[in-house]
Amino acid sequence: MMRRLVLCLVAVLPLAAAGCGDAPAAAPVAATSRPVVVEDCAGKDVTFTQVPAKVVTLDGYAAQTMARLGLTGKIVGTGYPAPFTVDASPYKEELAKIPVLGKGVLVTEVVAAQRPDLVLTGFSVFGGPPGSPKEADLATMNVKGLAACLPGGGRAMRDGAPSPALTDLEPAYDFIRKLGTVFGVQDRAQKLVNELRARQEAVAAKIQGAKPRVLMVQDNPVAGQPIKTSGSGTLAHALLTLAGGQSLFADVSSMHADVSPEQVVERDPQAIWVISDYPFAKTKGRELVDEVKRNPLLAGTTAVKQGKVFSTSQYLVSFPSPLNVDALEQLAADLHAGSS
Amino acid sequence: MTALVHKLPLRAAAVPYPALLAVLGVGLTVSVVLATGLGAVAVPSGEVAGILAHRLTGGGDSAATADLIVWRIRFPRVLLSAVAGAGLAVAGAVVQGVVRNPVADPYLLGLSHGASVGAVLVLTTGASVLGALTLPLAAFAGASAAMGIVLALASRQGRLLPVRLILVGVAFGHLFAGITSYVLALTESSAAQQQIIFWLLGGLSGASWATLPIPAAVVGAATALLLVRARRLNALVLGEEAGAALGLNASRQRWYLLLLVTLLTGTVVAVSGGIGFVGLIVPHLARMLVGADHRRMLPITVVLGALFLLWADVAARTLVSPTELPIGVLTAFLGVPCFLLVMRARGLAGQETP
Repeated sequence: MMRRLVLCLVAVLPLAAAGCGDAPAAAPVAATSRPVVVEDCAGKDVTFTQVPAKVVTLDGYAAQTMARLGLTGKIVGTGYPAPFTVDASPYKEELAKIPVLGKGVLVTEVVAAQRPDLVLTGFSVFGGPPGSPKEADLATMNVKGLAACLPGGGRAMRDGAPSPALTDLEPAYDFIRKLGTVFGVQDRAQKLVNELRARQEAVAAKIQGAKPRVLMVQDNPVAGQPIKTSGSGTLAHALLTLAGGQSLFADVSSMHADVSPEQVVERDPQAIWVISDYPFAKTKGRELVDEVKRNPLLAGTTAVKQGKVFSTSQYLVSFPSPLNVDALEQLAADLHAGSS
Repeated sequence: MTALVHKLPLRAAAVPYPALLAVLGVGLTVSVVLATGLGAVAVPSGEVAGILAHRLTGGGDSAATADLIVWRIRFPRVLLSAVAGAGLAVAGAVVQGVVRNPVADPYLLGLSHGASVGAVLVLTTGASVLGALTLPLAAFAGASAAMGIVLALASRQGRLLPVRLILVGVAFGHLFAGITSYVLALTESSAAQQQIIFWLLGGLSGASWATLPIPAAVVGAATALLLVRARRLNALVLGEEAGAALGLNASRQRWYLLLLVTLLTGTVVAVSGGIGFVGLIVPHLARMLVGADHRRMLPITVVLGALFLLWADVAARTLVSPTELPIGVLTAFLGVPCFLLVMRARGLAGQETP
C-alpha cells in the first residue's frame, strides 16, 4: 500500500494537477500509477490510462508471455496458435482455452470484430503478413498495439547501421516487463524475469572448456543450393552464445541467411543445431535430424562424424517468449552432452 | 467477375456506347456495395446496407463493432481498390498509346520499379522523417526519379521517340529491380524483408479514410485531363508523320502525357504497392469492347479497372480467409482468364491493337 502511494505521488507530482482520488474507482488494480507510458519498438511512447481489459494476440508467442503473467483471462482471441504445441503444462492447457480466431497471423477485420483495447504480437512489427493490422489500422480501430521488439525489427535499423549481434535474452525479458507495467503486475513480471534469468545463469555457470563451433540449419541442405542458417541478429544466435557455443556463421545476421556449402565444409562445424518446424522444411524433428546426419554434403564435418546433431523447435527460439529459456537449457545439455 | 465478362462482349456488340457505360457504371456501384458486404468477418447484408445508408446520408459515429468493420475498415479499402484500379488502368492505356506498344504498362517504363526502390530504401533504413507519409512519399519520389531519368536519357534534342523510351525504360526497370533485390538481400531484419516482399506484390490492407482523398483526387483530375486530350492521344497513336500532318507536336504531347502518367502511377503505387497486370490488361479489354478511340475507351478503362481491382481485392481478402493473399497474385489469376475469354469471345486475337 505504501508503495502504491509513492507511485501515485511520483506519477502525479510532475503533472502538479489531478489528485489521486478520482482514478482508483475506474481501475482499482493499478490505478495508482496511471497513466503508464511504455515505449514501442520504434521508441515512441504508448500511454495507457487504464488497465487493458480485452486483449487480442496476433500470434501465440504473445499469448505465452501473457499466460506466465497470469493474464490469460484477458485474451479474447489469438491467431497463429502453432507455438502452443511446444508449451508445457499447466500453460498448454490454459492456452488451449483461448479462442483461436485464425491459424495465421490475424487480419485487421478479425481483430476489429473483437473490439480489443490492446493488440499484442510476439513478432517484432505490426503489418508484416498480408492483411494483418498495420499501425494505421490500429489507429483506425482506436486500439493500442505492442510488439515484442527484436533488434533489427525496427529500432536497431533506424540509423541504417547494421544491427549488432544478439547475445542475450533481453527481447523476451523486455516484453515481459513491458506487459507487467501495462497491466499493473510489475512485481510478477520482475519475479518471472528474475526466475528466467536465474535459469539462464545456471546454464552459464555449468559451461566449461572451449566453445564448440556450431552450424545452425533450418532444413536439410540440398546440393547446389545455399544452406539456410540463423544469423547473428537472431534469438537463436543469442541462445547458442549463452549455451556456450559459437556460431559458425556469426558474420551473417538475418533470420534466414543463405550461406555456401563450401564455407560450411571449410569452417567445419563441431556440432549441428537443427532448428526444426520451419514451414519450408519437408520433415521435422527427429526425422529431419536423421536426414541431416545422412546428408552427403555434411558427411565430412566433425559434427556428423561424431554424431553431434540435435534439434530444437523454431517455436522455442524464433521470437521473444519465456520458452526461450527452455530452449537454452535443452541446447546447453545437447551441446555439452557426453563430450567424449 | 467471370460471369460478368461472359455477358459483356455479347452485349457490347448490341448495346450502344452510352448504355454500355451506364451498365458498367451501375455494375461498379453495385460491386462497391457487394464487396463491402464480403470479408473475413461475416456481417449480415441487412446490417451492411443499414450502415452504408446511415453513413452516406450523413449519419454520425456509432460505437457498434459492425460500424467499425464496415465503415472504417472495409469501405475505405473497397473504394481505394476501385480508385487504384482505375488509376493503374488509365495509366496503362496512356502508356500504351504514347509508346505505341500493346505490351506497355507503367512497369515497362521503369515507373513501378522506381517506386519500389524508393519504398524499399525507406523500409530498410527505417527512416521516418515525415511520419506515416514517409513511405508513400518515398515511393512517389522513386517513381518520379525513375521517369525523370528515363525521359532525360530517351529524349534527343527535345524529341521523344517511342522506341528509345521503351528501351531506356526496360533497361532502367531492370536496374531498379536489381537495386531492390540487392537491398532485400542485404537487409538483416526479417520483419523488414517481409514488409518489402508484401510491398513488391502489392496490397491494399492499411487503407483508411485518411489514405483515400489524395489518390482519388489525382485519379479523378488526371482522368479528366486525359479525356480532354483524348483526340491528341488518338493522333499520337497514328505515328510521327501522321501526327505531324494533323498539326501535332508529338514529342511535346509525349512529355505532357508521361508526366501525367508519372503523377498517376506514383500516387497509386504509393498507397497500394506494386500491383501488376491491371495497367497491361484492362486497356485491352476496353479496346475489345468499344474500339481503340481514346474518347470512347478511356471512360470504359476507368470503370473496368475499378471493377477489376475491386474484385481482385475481394478475392485476396476472402479466398484464404481469415488470412490474406497478396493482391498481385490475384490480378494475374483473375486477369489472364478474363482476358482470354474476352479475346476469344470477340474474335480479335489476330487483330492489331495499338
